[in-house]
Amino acid sequence: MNIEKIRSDFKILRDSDVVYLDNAATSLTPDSVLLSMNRFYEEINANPGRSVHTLASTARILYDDAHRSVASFIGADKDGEVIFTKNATEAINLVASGIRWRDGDRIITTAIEHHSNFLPWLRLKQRYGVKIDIICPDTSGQFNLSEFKEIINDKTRLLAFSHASNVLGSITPAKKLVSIARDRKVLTLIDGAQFVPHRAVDVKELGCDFYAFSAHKMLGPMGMGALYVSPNEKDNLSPLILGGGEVKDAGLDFFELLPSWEGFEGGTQNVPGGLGFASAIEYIEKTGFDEIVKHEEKLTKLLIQGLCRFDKIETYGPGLGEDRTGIVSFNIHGVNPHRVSSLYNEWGNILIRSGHMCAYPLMKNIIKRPRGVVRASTYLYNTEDEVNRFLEVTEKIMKFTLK
Amino acid sequence: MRETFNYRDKSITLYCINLCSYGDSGDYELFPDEDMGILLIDQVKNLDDIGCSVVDVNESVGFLHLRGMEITLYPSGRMIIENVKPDDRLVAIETARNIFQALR
Repeated sequence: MNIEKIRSDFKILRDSDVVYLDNAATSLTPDSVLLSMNRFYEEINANPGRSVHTLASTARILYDDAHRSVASFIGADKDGEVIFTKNATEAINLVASGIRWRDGDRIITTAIEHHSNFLPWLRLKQRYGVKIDIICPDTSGQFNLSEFKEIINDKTRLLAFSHASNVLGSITPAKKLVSIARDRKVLTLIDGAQFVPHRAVDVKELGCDFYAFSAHKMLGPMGMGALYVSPNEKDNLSPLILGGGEVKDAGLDFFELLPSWEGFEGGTQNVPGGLGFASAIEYIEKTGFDEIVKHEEKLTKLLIQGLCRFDKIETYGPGLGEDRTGIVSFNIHGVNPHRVSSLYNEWGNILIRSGHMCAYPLMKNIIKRPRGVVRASTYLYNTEDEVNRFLEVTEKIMKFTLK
Repeated sequence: MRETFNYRDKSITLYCINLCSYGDSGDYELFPDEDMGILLIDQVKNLDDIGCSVVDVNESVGFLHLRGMEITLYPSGRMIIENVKPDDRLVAIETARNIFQALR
């Protein structure tokens, strides 16, 4: 993997000396993605499939191609198994509102979820009395799988979990959990927002019913995401919104939805976003996950080893040598996380995240850090020099704050 | 949310962003629309006069305590105010304005 070449594809990295380690929030966008979106506005810019003219038809074909690229990327069938959404959050909310919940239904989720895979289930509890069972992992994010087996009962309808934690960097054994759920005829939803950008996913191999992820964490544009829906569940799911371009037929007292993604994407779609999403995937595929994983593992190891040198730093998540993504969360003893992250910004032009990471249940119940954490997260364009700069500034912060 | 105030005969607009909330307190980031060029080390007495204790300071950052709030102040005027009670953006803005007005 040629890091210098990769870095030259990102304007922010070309034009500044910023160290961008906030990739778990949003990744940077390469020129090719921006170009694909600009090209749409400059050369096509028509409403896909609404009009009988060449630009509209071209827009429609390109937008359909984008669905096929995203589907192929996660091992889904290219014909209609992937619906575009605003982001992973909307994808999960689509499932929460789209399933016809029955009296007494139960949902299993976990205490490490991002709010996007937690609050929708809490709302079902408040609105419809759906019961929520919550599984807690240990402090490093590892689950005891037998707990899932034990808690499933005849009323359990859905198991919803994240493929990788946005705080701990831990990876959930998704295939095993799906298998446990399938054995008991329980639906499965996987929040892949923190996994898909970093590792290869095959939804058919996983066997899940729903898989949600966002474009903006994987070099794509903001405001784009996707939901995989297994063929078995397509007809059981209602769209989040209804409107133009979604129906096969409608009358004064009925409507019939179109098959495929069309039946779920009412109104004028974010076509440039879809094209940018497909372009981001092309970039990742060209680079190759084998190389990306190897690179991120090297940087993550360097980060953790560097932070562990300091007595007063507490890191969270799996230890060295255990499988994890490039997310490293930590705290400096006695110093508030926002203060710490602002010091990285001011003293090193290093951009990281601090606070609760939209994961209050995890902060309060698993790692018990109600003020949150500081989080550094790597991606394919980060370098060892950047991690070393991060560690140098860490030392400077430690010296000043703990003297 | 933003608020405009006078600092050394200049009009400064202060932007306020909500960072995190927990229970009845919250954290905020505030920053002015231009670099205020504060000489932090020279401001210890002025801050002390408004009841703001300077826990630590150097030329690039000041750690302050004021009525239970933990404040990080940079020479540019950027400020992180943590543990704001009640959790209200107006309280954070008022706190920042009082601090800026104390600077000489």
